[in-house]
Amino acid sequence: MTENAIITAHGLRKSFGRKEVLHGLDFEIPAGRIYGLVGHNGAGKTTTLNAILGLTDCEGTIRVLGEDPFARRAQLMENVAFISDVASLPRFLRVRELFALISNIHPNFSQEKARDFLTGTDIRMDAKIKHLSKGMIAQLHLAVVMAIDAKLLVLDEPTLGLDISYRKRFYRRLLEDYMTEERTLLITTHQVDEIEFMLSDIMFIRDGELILHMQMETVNEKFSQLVVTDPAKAERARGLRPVFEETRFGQTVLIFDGVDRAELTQLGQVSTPNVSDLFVALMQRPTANPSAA
Amino acid sequence: MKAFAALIHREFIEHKGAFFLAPMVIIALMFIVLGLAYVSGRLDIEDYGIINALPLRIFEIGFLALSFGWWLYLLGGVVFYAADSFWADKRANAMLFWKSMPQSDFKILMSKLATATLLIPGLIFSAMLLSGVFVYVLVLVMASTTGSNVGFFISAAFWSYLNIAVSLLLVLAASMLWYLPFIAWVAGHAVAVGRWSIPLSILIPMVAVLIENVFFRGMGPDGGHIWNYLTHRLEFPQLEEGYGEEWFFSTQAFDASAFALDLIMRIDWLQVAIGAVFAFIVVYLASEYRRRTIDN
Repeated sequence: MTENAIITAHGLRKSFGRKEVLHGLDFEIPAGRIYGLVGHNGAGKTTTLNAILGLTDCEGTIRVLGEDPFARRAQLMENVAFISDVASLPRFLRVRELFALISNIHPNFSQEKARDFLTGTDIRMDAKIKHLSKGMIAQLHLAVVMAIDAKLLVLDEPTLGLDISYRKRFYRRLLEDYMTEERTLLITTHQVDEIEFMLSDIMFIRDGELILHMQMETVNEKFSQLVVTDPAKAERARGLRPVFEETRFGQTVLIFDGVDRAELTQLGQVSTPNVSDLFVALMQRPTANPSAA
Repeated sequence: MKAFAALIHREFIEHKGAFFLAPMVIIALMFIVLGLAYVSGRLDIEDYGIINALPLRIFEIGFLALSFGWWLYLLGGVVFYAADSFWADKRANAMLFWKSMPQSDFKILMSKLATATLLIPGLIFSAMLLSGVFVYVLVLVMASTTGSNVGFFISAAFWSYLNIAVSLLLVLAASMLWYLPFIAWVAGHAVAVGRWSIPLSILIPMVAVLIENVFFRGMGPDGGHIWNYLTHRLEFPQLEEGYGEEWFFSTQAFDASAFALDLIMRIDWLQVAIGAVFAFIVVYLASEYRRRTIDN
């Protein structure tokens, strides 16, 4: 186990009935990183997060901040904050009642900070949560979470159902106002392009197995995208064993794993694939790099 | 303790409509109707000669009768509260929010049980006291109109009010202790099946009664051991042949100390202790179920 690991998982397995949805995950997440966990629906993202948050029991070993999350969820939540669904705030409360309640039940929550985070929004302290729009509830939930002095923040599809402007504001706020201290952030989202700019590490999960786990810098070095217009060069490029190929507007787009860029440059335009392109590419082959970052 | 009190407070906010606002509205309406009847001269007091003779007795009976109504309201309300509140955190995905707070499932469920057995009876006790004030005012108006000894009534009824209030407090405490296992039984099922826990909580013992009668017919009392035990446990000890009945047929003012002594003597404290242990076990098992489930 790495000395500064916030999360360690070894042989993490989970079954629902006879169906095994996690097939022995092994990973470590060091402190101070921003991780993206990406996968298709049903790939096991939420189950993995639930195991990390102590919401479900799993086989294998998992430790979060050195604790067994399922056995000690309540204690762990003093240092872990999470949003699993922005619509989950208790709807019968007013905003000020919510803040008063949390300040009494969470030792690391600052009501002052939460009020500060709401400055400049349309959210009034005496508004009932059920009367707020979905975007406002997301802002409120983010304010609540950011007002918690936690070491680990887990966000499971935090912007699901929100429009693009709210999503951008959500992530900007998170990065500018929350990630100022050494905190670890773990995010899952389908809109992976929107968070790519902030990620330090990426994990791809497919059918309950990690197929990629590496730092973004390594991703940029390891993977290349080649765009070819000449069919003959495209044929030569295929000889370099791309991990993915598709045709876009008459051009051939190929993604390579560990191929020298100098070699590729002779065949066409070379760039670094964005995370969503890489995701599409790697979801189609057996494994990319299951080793730890 | 601060967190526990805050969790009870949030239960109050969530359920204040049934246990605070509704009783207050009912009592306000009672006062409004009384005021309007008095002002418009539609309070036909002259026809009720009994007021002239027994204003204190009328006050006591009226206060106790209204309080009995509130007591029934409490018992019904607490059962519905148990069925609703133990499940309510699943509503609108809110369970995920509560799970993100550093509070155990057991503590959260215990705060709900404390709300059912302490806060809600406390609120209903307030409604009882206000109803007593209503009857006091009503009888005072009637007595003053019919020429009764108002001075005597004011002081005697005041002491009677205090005696009845103390007795009601004891009844509420005793009934919550007595019915605790039933409240926990309904609440425990609610964690899994929501408000369907009410029919399920009846169905399960009924099936047990049926099985006992089918397979062990004639080996126990009529209806079987389970049936007899449940009917014994469902009957509140004070309701029949207690001090209340004795007082009703006497001419004495209501006496809290005699009532309290009678109530304490009549309660089967071993059953109360067994019920408390049972309730604790049910809530613990419910919390373990809740700890393991995050589905909505």
